Amino acid sequence: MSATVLAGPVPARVGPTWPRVLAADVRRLATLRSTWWFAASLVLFTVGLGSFPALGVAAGALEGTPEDVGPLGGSLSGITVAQLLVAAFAVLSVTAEYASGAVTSTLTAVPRRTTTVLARAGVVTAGVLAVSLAVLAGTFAVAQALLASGGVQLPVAPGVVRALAGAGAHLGLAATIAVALGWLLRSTAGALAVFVGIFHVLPVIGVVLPAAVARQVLPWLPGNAAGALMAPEPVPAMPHAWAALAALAGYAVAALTLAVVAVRRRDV
Amino acid sequence: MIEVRSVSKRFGNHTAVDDLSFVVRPGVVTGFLGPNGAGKSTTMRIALGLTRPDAGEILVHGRPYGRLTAPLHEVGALLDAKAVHPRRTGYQHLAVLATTHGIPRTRVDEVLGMVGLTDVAGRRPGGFSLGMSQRLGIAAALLGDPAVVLLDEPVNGLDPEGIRWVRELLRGLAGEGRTVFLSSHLMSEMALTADRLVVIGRGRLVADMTLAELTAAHRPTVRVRTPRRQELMSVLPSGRATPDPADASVVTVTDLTAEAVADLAARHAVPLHELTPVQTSLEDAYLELTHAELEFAGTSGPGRSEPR
Repeated sequence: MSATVLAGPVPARVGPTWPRVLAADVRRLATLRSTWWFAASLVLFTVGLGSFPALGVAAGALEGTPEDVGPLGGSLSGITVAQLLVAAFAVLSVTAEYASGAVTSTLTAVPRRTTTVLARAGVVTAGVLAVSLAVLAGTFAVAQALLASGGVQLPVAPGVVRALAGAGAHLGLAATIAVALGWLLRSTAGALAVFVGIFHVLPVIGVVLPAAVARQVLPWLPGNAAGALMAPEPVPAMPHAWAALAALAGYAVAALTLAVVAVRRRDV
Repeated sequence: MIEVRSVSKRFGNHTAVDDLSFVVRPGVVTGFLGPNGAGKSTTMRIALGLTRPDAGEILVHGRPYGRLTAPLHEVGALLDAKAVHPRRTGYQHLAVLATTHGIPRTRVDEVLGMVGLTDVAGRRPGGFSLGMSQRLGIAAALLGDPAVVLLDEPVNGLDPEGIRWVRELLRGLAGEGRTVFLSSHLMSEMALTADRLVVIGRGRLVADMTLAELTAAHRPTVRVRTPRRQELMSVLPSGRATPDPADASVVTVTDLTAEAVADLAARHAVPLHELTPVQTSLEDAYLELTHAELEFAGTSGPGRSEPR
C-alpha cells in the first residue's frame, strides 16, 4: 500500500470556518439514528397528546363549548413531554461525545473551543425550533379540524399564534440550556437532573419563600416564565409573553456563557 | 516539526510530565518510548491542545496547536482508537471531520481505501474490533494530508499483517518528508519502525538518540568458560569480570569484546572452553535506561494511571 497518494498537490488550506463548523455539526447530528427517533417521538407525543382533548370533544366524551376547550383547543397538552424529549436530545448531543471520548477528535479538528460550544448550541437550537414550530402549528390544525367535526369553531386569534410561537421558542431555548448543561456537566444523567431541577423542581420549592419574595421571584423562574410565554391570554401576576421570552433567552445566554468559560478553562 | 519546550504537568500530587524538552524532526520516524504511566499520552494530549501544561509549551510548526489555522491539514493524530461515537458509521465519522475543513468527500473514500476499510465503512464502529478501530483512527489522522503525524500506540490490537502495514505506512510517510511521531511501550516494535527514539520515564527525558546510538551506548558483554577462572580473572582489567556464583568455571566479562578476551587469554596461555558474546538487544538497552525511572517497579501502590 503506497502512501504516495498523500503527496498530491496541496490546495489552499483554510481551516474550520463558521459555515464549515456549523455544517459539520448538522452532519454530526443528522448521521445518528437517535436524532430521527427523537424527532419522531416529538411529533408523535406533541400531536398525539395535543389532539387528545379535541378528539374527546369530537367523540362526544367531553363538553364542547369554546370556554371548555380554551383558545388553543388543548393543543399544548403534550408540551411537557415534548420539552423533556428536547432536553434529552440536546444534552446527549454533547454528553454522548464525552461518554465515548469522541470529543477529543471534535476538539482536535476544531481547537477553538468557543466556536465548538456555540456551534453545537446553535445547530441544536435551530433544529429544535424549526421542528417544534412546524409540529405545534400542525397540532393546532389537527385540534381545530377535530373540534370543527364536533361543531366547535376554534378561531386563530392573535393570542393563539403568539402562544404557539412562544411554545416553539420555549422548546428552542430549553434546548440551548440543555446543550449548555451538557458541556458544563459532561454527564447525561447529571445534566438531565439539573435540567429537570431548574424547570420542574424550582417552581415547586419556590412556594416556601416568603410571600413578598415569592411574588417577585416565582414568575421569573424558567419553568414559570415558559408557562407565561405559552399562555394565549395574559395571566394575572405573570410576566407578559415578551418579558417571559426575554427572561428565558437571558437564562439561555447565561448558561451558554458559563459553558464556554468552563470548556475553555479545563482540560478535555 | 514538533518542539517540546520545558513542559511540566501535574495531576494532583502526581507529576505526569516533568520539565520535558525535545524536538521531533521531519523526514524520520521518531519513537516515543517509555513504560506505562511515563507521561507519553499526557505529552501527546498537550501537543494537541487537549491538556494544558502547568509550565512550558509544545509547538507544531512554531505555533501552539490551538493557533493552527487548519489543524487537520497540519497535524494528523490518533490518540484512542475507541474514542469515536459507537453509532455513527465509520464513513460518516470521517465525513463529519472532513466537513470541518471543507475536505472533499472523495478524500474520505481515499483514506478508507488506504486503510482497507472500504467494505465496512457503512458499519457502526461500536462493533469494530480494536484492529479495525485503529485503522479507522489512522484514516482520520491521514484525512487532512498532514505534514505531522502523531499516533499514540497505533499498533495496539493489530494482527501481524496490520502491524507490518502500519510500519510500512509510517516509513513511507517519513520518506515523503513528513514528521512522524509515535508512542509505544514496546522496544521491539520501535526497533523495526523508528529511526530516532525519545525515551521518557516518570515524565522525564531519559534518552533522545538514534537507534544506532542506543545500541552502541550499550556495553558489550561476553560469557567465558575456562578451567582456570582465577588465572583469567587476574589478567582481566579490574572490575570487568564477574564470577558466576553457580558455576566455578564461568565468568562474565563486560566492556570487552569477545576478540579482546580471546587475545588476552591466548597471550597468558589460559585455555578457553567457551566464549559467547551475550547478544545485547535493544530491549536490554531500553530496560537498562528506564530501570531507574520505572514508576511501578517493585511496588504495588494504589493505581496511579495515566489519564486518558
